[in-house]
Formats: sequence, structure tokens, C-alpha cells
Amino acid sequence: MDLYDLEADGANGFLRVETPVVRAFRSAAENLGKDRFMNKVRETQDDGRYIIFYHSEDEPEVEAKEERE
Amino acid sequence: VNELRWDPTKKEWVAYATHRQDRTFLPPKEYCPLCPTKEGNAFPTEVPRPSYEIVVFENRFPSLVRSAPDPEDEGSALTPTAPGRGVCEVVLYTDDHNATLATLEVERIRNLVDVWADRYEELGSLEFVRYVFIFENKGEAIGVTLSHPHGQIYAYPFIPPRPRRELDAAGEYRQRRGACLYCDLLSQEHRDGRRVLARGEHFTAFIPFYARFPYEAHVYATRCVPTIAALSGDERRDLARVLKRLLVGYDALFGFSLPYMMFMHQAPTDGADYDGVAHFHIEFYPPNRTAEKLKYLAGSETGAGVFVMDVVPEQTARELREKIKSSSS
Repeated sequence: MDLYDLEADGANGFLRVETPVVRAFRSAAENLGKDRFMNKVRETQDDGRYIIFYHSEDEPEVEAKEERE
Repeated sequence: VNELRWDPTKKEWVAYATHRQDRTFLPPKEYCPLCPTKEGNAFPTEVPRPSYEIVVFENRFPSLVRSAPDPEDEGSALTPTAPGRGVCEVVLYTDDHNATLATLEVERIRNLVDVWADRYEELGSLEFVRYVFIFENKGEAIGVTLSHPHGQIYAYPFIPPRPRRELDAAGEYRQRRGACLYCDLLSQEHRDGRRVLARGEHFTAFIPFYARFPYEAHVYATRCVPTIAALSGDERRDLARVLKRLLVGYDALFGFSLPYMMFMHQAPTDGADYDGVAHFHIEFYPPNRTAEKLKYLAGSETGAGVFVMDVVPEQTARELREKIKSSSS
């Protein structure tokens, strides 16, 4: 799949239309600098103390690539 | 006994928590209470799951407790007492017993920054909490009782004396110069360069001009940001990278996993305005002055509060910087 498709604009010309590849890249790039946060699940132990489990979301492909570099 | 006693000679609270005397002390690995509870294992740990990523729980042996009883000793007008009220949490960095903060992937450290920020916000929002202190004691030389990679958080009902002194100094500097003390110190370190250890886009690790320990390192945010919770996503990621570089360098210094005390200083949560005064930073204090020798707090350091150093920061920074460079390449 390419970055853009061409679609007829109805006036003998073409419109450049983004493919899902562009949207996925843009979304991943925007998320790189944004605050994101781990999910957390809070439970209470038998003795009344709390315990919180933090777990991360799936990482976007672009972020994973950046780390490998 | 779980109470605070006031020392009027130093104007400081001392916390007494006598139940801590019985806490678990360096158990064998198979009985580590911070490891996951394995299926079919007869030894239930603090974490009732077979695996985990990052976990926070209330300390079983807290120095301060949420519902503190009235002090057993009333004290006097000169030496009053107060309930030892606060929150003590344990932060488990990973379920891998043999890992350390230095061996974690940058992404895991980045996640840990999120967790630290979350704990700062949640604990700081409690009505009785005035200061959220995030720290780690690592290594038997520091006196840790459990070797599993973990840190701690104390939510104090007052601003502890050391952060208080720093805030007072920064407040006076701001009044006199109209600038942030920490921003100016960081600019000076950047200009000089001799003590800089690792420089990222948003954070810098350096040995301060006035270091009290040979390999003491401070990690300052470039932006004048008061708390860890106020860091952007980019800043959190950069902090993780700088921490990783510093810690890998530490471990390369003498060829073993270096013990240290690590703690964070940031804005108190007492409702006052600390913009331009509190500047989020992390400080590391490894006790080693050589591979075999530790720096002890002796007479001058303990009795007079004057640290005497037998090596200058410019020299130790050069050694550590080389280790960081060679470890990163």
C-alpha cells in the first residue's frame, strides 16, 4: 500500500487521498510526545492494605523502532 | 510505638516506628516477599499474582501510618509528640528478582516515571500530606533488607528539613535575583562542562561543584518544572534515557552493581505556590569512594555537618563520564 491513492475529483482531475498508512504514521508520531499513562488496577489485600498493579498499553510500532535505534 | 517526637535543638521531627524492628531481613531468594506468588507455591508473597509489570503497595512495616494512634508518650511543651501519620509505599520495578534499575529497558524506566508521577499526585492530594518523598536504597552497603529491585515512597505530614532548607535557599535566591537557583546552577554546569556526565534533550546528569560524595550525581530538568507530575511525555522519556545512561555508567565504574541512595526533590503538596522555587531533580549518593572503600559519615560530617572530601568532583566526573561513554557505545 502506498502513502496516497488518487481518486477522480469529478472535474477531469484527481484528488490525493491519504491511505491508512499515513493515518497510522501520523497517529504514532503524535503519540510520541504526548503524555500517556499506564493502566492501573487497585486491589485490597486481606489485611486492608492496598496494592496497585500498573501495566502498559501496547506500544505503537514507531516507538518500538525508535528504541531499537 | 508509632509517633513523632520533636527535637527543639535542631527543630526537626524524629519518627519512631518500633514494629519495624521485626521486618524481614535479607531472606534467601526463594523466600523473597517482593517476588510474584508462583502458582502452586506454598510461599505467598506481597504480590498475589504469578507475574507483574510494576506494582505499588502499602508497606507492611511503615514508618508512618494513615490512621496513626495518639502518641503513647505525651512529651512536654519543650519536646512535644505527634501521631506518626503518613503513608509509606513500596514500588516494585519489575518481577525479575535479579534486575536493578540500571538493567531495566529504557521503556520500563519510562513507565516507572509515570508511576512515580501518579503516586506523587495521588499521595499529594491527601489532606494530611505535605511532602511526597520518592526514594530508593540500593545495596547492602546502604542497609537494604530486601534485594529485589524496588524503591519506596514516604508521604510526610510535614516538609522534611532537607527539602525545606533547599526550598528556603531557592526562595531567597529568587527574591534576591529574580531567577530560579536550579536553572542558574544547571546553566553554570552546562557552560563549565567539566562535571557534566550525561546530557539529554530535557535532562542533565552531573556531579555538582560542591559534591559531598565522590560519585554523587544530580539529575536536573532543563525546564523549570516543579514536580515529576508536570513533566511532558518527551521529558519523561528523556529522563528515562538519562537515568539509564547514568546507572549503566555507575555499574561500569568498579565492575559491580553500585550501591546508592537515590531520592527526588520537588514541590511540597501543602497548597502553597512553589513555581520558580521548586525545581524537580533527582540526587544519587553512592557510598563508594573506591571499589573496596566506603565513605563514612564520621565526626566532621555527622557532628559539624561539614563534609571533607579527598577527591574533587572534576576528577570523579571525568572517570564516570568515560565509563558512561564506553558503556553506551
